Amino acid sequence: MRRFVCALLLSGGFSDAWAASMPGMDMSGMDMTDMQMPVAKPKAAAEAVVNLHPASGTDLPAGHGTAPVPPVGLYASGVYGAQAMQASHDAMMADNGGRRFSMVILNIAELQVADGRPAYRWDGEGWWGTDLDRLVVKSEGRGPLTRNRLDDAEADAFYSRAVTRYFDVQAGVRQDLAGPNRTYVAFAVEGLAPEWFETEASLFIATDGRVLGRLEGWHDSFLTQRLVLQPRAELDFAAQDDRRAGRVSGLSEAELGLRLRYEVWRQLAPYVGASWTYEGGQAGSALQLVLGVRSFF
Amino acid sequence: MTILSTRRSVLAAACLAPLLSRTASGHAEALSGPDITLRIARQDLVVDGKPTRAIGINGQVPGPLLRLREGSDATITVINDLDEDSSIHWHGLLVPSVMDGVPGISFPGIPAGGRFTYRFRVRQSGTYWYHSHSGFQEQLGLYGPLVIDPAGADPVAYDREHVIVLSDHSAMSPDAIMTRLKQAPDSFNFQKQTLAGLARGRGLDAGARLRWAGMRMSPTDIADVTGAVYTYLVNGQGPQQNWTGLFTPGERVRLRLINASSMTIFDVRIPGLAMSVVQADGQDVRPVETDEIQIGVAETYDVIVHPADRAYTLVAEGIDRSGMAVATLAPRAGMRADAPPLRARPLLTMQDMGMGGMPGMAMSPRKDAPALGPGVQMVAMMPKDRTGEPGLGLRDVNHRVLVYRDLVARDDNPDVRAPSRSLDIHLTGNMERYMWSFDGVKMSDDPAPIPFRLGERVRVRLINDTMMGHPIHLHGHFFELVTGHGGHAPRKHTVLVQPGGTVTFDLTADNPGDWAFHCHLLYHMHAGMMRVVSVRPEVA
Repeated sequence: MRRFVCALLLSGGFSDAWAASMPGMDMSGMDMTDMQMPVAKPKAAAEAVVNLHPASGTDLPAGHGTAPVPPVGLYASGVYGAQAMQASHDAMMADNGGRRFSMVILNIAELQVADGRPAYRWDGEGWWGTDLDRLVVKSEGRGPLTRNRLDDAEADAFYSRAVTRYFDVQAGVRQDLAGPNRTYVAFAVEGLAPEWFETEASLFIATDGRVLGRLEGWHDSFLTQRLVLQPRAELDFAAQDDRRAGRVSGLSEAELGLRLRYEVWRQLAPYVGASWTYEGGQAGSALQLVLGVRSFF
Repeated sequence: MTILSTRRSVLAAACLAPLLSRTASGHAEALSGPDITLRIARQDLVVDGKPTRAIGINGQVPGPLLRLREGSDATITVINDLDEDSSIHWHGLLVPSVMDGVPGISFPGIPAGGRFTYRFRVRQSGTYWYHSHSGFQEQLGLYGPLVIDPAGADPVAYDREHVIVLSDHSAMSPDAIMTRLKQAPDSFNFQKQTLAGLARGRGLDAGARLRWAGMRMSPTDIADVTGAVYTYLVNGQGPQQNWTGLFTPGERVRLRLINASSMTIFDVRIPGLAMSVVQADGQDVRPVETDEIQIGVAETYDVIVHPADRAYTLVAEGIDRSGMAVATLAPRAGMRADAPPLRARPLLTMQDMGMGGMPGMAMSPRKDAPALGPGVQMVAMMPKDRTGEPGLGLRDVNHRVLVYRDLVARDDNPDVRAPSRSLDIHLTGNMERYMWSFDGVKMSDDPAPIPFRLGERVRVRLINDTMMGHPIHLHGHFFELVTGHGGHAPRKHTVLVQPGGTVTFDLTADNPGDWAFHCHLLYHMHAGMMRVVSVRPEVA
C-alpha cells in the first residue's frame, strides 16, 4: 500500500479528487526514510500530502454565534458574601485606571538681566485629578529684584477636561496680582500640537468687560539625551487700551525666548538663555540674559 | 528514541532531588508537600551592593520555589504581615475561580495582619509562578517561581534543572514611577532621537523624524520604564552579583525561564549555547532549537541546553536595550564568561504602527475600531498577524530567533471543536496621556464583563492599536494560538501582541467564575488595561 501511494505521488498523477475520495488519510505517521525520493518533488504532490490532514482544532473556521448576556454580580459573592466582594471590587476598579495624580511644573523660574537691572520671572502650572477631569492652576509674573513689588503677575484656576487625543479645554477665573485689581472669566485650550509643540490659547473677559487674549507655545529640542533647547513664544493681546495697567490695544506684550537647559534629572534642569520682550506703547523692546531652573514634581 | 527519553527522565527523576538548584546562591530550598505556609512582609533587598525597599515572602525576593505534584491537593496558607491588603495569584494555574487570588474579582483579598488558606487540586504540570495582585506589591518583589512535577514520567529528559526568574527592580517607589509616567511619559527614555545624533547621521533622517513628530509619535518609545531606574535581576540578583548555576559538563540542563518583571520584555540568549525549547507557559511543546527567545512579561519557557566544560553567560536584554540581566552557567563556582555588550536600540517602524509598511498614510480609523479620543491615540489601519516574525529588535540578528509559529503542542489539544463564534478585542492607549485600555474603555469605567458561556469555544482576536507590545494574560485558562498547527496548537496563558500586530487564539471557557484579563505590563494594568471575563452556565 505504502509503495502504491508513493508511486502515485511521484507519478504526478495525484489529484484533489483522489484526495477527496480518501478523507481522513494521514501520512504523518509513515516512515519514508527508506524510500528513494527525488530531490525536487513535484509541487502538486507535496501540496496534496498536506491536504491529507483533516482540518482540526485551530484550523477550523469560527461560526457566527452570538455572545451571551453578561452576568450581573460576581461569582465569588456566593462564597465570600456580596458585601465583601463589592468593597474589594470597587477598590480594584479604582486601582486600575481610576487613580488621581498631580503635577507641578515651573517651566520658567529665572533671573533676568538687562541694562544692569536684575529682575525675576516665573511661569508655571499645576494640575490635580483623573485622566480626563482636572483642576488646573496657572501662574506667571515678573518683578524687579531690587524693589519689593511685582510688575506683572496673575493666577488662574481652571476646570480642565480632556476632549481629544492631545487637547484639553479649560474654563475658570483669572486674578491679577499686580497693577489694578482685576478679575476675569477665563477660557483656554491647551495641548500638544503636531511636531511636539506645547501650545496654549487663552481668552480672558474682565468683570468690567475688558477682553484679553494670549497665545503661548514652546518646543523641546533634544540636542543630546540631557541637553534641551527650548524656543518659546508668548503673545498677549488686548481689545482695549488700559492706561492704568499700562496696556495698549492690539499686541500689548510679547516674549520670544531661547533657553538651553541641562537635565541633571528629568525633573530638575538649570538653564541659560536669552529673552526678547516687547511691550506696546512707550516701553518698546528689550533683550535680557536669563538664568534659571526648570523643574517639575 | 522514545524509549531512551523515558529512561533518561526516570534517571533524571531519581537523581534530581540532591541536584536541584544547587547554585552559588538563591533558591536554596523548595517548599513542597501538602501544607505550605507563606509569610508576606516588607524587607530590604540588596541589589549589587545597594539596599532597596522590597516586599518578600518568607524573607526572600523572589519568594521561595514552590514545588507541587500534578494530581495532588495543595493547601497553601498565606500570612499577610503588611499594613495593607495583599494577595497571591497562581499565574497560569487552573484553579477554581474563588482560589485565583485577585482581590475584587475572585476573593476579597487578605487583610493587613490576616491570613488566607488557598486550597486547590493541582490539575497540570510545568513551570509557573505566583505573585501579588494587590496595589504595587509585585513591583516591590512579591513574586516567586512555582514548578509542578508531572504525575507520571516527565516526557522531557534532563539531568539537572535551574529556575531562572527574570525581573526588574527599582529604588524608585512604584507610586513615584506611576506618577511620573502620568506627568511625563517619556521621561525614563534616555535613548531618544537627538539633533546630535542627526548631525552624526544616526537613526532616522530629518524627513522621517518630521513625519513621526507630525504624528506625535516617537520611534524610540519602546519601553515606558527603562534601565534608567531599573536594575534587571536573575533570581533576585543584579548583574554584579552574577547569579551562577552550576552543571557537570555533558549534562542536559533544563532552564525554567520565568519573566516575573513588572514592565520589561526580555530578549534571552546564551552566547555559544543553542537552546531547545521544550515548554511554553508550562505546556510541553515539540522540541524546537533556537538561539534567542523574546519573553514577554509573565510568560515562561523551558529550554534544554547541553553545555560543554566552560562557563557561559545568560543574557536577558530589555527590548529597549537600556540594560540587561546577567547570570552565569558554569561547571565550577567562580568561573565567568564575558558578557556581550548591549546591542543597539531598535527603532519602531511604520509596520509597528499597523500601517503595513506604508509611510505617510493618514490615520483614519477602520470601521470596526474604537473611536479616537483622549484614551485612544491611534488605530492600526492594517494590523497583521505577526506571530511568524521575530519580535521588535530581533528582526536583523544573524542567528535563530523563536517565533510563536515555531511552537507546536506536544500533546493533542484537549478540545478541537470549531469555535462557535468570534470576538475582537482592541488593545488601546494614549502614550501622551499614559492611558491604557481595551476597546478604549478602562477597568475603572466599570465596563460589563466579557461574557462566555461555560463550555463554549470562542475565537478571540487581539488587535494591537498601539505602538507597544502588550503581554496579555487570561486567568484560569489556557488558550490555543491560531498559528497554523490545527489540533496541536500551542497552549498559553499569556501572549505578547507585537505593536501593530494581531494574535488570534481559540478559548474553551471551561472554568466557571470571574477571571481577570489584563495587560501584564503592570503600569498599563494600573492605568486601566484590564477587564473581567465571566464564564457562566447559560441560563435557559
